[in-house]
Amino acid sequence: MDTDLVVRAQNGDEQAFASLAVAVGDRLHAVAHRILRDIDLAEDATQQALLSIWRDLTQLRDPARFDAWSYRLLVRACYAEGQRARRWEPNLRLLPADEPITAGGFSSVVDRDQLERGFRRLSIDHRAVVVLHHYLDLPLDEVADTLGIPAGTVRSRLHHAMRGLRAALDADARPTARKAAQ
Amino acid sequence: MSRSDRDVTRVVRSWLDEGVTALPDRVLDTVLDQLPATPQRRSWWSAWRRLVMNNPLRTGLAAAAVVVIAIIAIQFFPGSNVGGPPTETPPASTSAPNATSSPSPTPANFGDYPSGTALTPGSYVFTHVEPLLITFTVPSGWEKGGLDWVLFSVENIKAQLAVMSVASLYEDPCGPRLYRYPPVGPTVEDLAAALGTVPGLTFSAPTDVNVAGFDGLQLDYVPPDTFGTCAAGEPWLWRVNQGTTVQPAPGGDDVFTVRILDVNGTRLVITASAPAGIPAGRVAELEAIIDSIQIE
Repeated sequence: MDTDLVVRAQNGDEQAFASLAVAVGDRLHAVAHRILRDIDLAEDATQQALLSIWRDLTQLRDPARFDAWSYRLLVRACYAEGQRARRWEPNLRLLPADEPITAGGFSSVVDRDQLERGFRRLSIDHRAVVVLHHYLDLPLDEVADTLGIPAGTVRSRLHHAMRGLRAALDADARPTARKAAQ
Repeated sequence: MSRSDRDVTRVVRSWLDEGVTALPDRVLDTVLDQLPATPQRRSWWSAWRRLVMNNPLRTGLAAAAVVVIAIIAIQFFPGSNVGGPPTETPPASTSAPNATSSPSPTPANFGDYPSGTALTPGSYVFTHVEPLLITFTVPSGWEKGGLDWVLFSVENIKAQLAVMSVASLYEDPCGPRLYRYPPVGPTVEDLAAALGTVPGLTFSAPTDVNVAGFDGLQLDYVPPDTFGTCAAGEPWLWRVNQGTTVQPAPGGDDVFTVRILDVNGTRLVITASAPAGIPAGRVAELEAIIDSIQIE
């Protein structure tokens, strides 16, 4: 990240912030979408995160740490959007599922289906750890630093999350109870 | 067969690499438009917050703030019902330019409103099942759902109305198999017959129905479901609207009604669902909304 842009934006330079937002917007949005699994919620979370970044940028003491700091604000925005989604969530609802329709039963396609379901069952806390570590390739200590939680908690959440995703993947290999009874 | 940790990690990483990355310009534009109205926090703010205030000082400041706010309220809002019952405010929506819809003398395009918008009573139009224009009227107490063709009641436990085209049914709602579904023919009768074979669910025999002058069939979910513990998680019923969306299956004691219409060759599906615990009257409102539907 261009620290000069960060410093100028810290001093209230809207043009500099616009350049900063263009530079980080896609990445923040990609992370938000992977955590929330919903385009609309991800757009809202990214929008809120960018506004929070602008508002709180003066609180960032080390401009070189902009990336990690921005991810922390983004994850907070994802929490808020996740809460908002739950408030709307009825017992019956429609879920976005943006995979294309194709015939056949390739295992990779089934894996995606299983991961989608398994991931949606995880809390935002657990999803954030998975995305920061496995999508952004952040080491666990950086994930801890970004989220402001102990490294042990990160390891625990990652372990729990991956166990859940493994169970979802393995579920495909098992017959459903109904079919097993037939 | 169980997979190794490395396999799981590889699959998860590959899956995470898929999907959208680009932030739409309109989101960026919205942010930049709001900058002039979003002051940056002053840099001494956090230091000020860390000042140690003793309890008497904190109490004094709080009391002073209350007095100032009360004076301002009396000065500027002499007619307000201070101390009276709270006035109802619409739910906030972070992305919504307006959290309530505008009154609509002519039908307003439902798709133009952000998710969660509290709908002003009036007429709205669905445009997502092309080429149909589906107009309907909502009473108070309803909001736009998370998608452009879903209406929710405003309570935490929500009644729901959804209008859609159905692409395909899942072979087994409780099964983990995404693309394994039996082919469903194009007619109203085809879909009604397929619903009657969905594992884990029982639907009533189809009965004739007419909505907005178009004939079709109605089926009602008959509780209970027999999913039991669903290894795959939430049971899914079908993929809708060109397959980009799924609708979870009903379950438990839910009231779930499916109307399948033939609208000049387009198969249109309307579902009305009412989970246990919704306020009395919502089911009647659902029916009234459906009765108000007009289709062009």
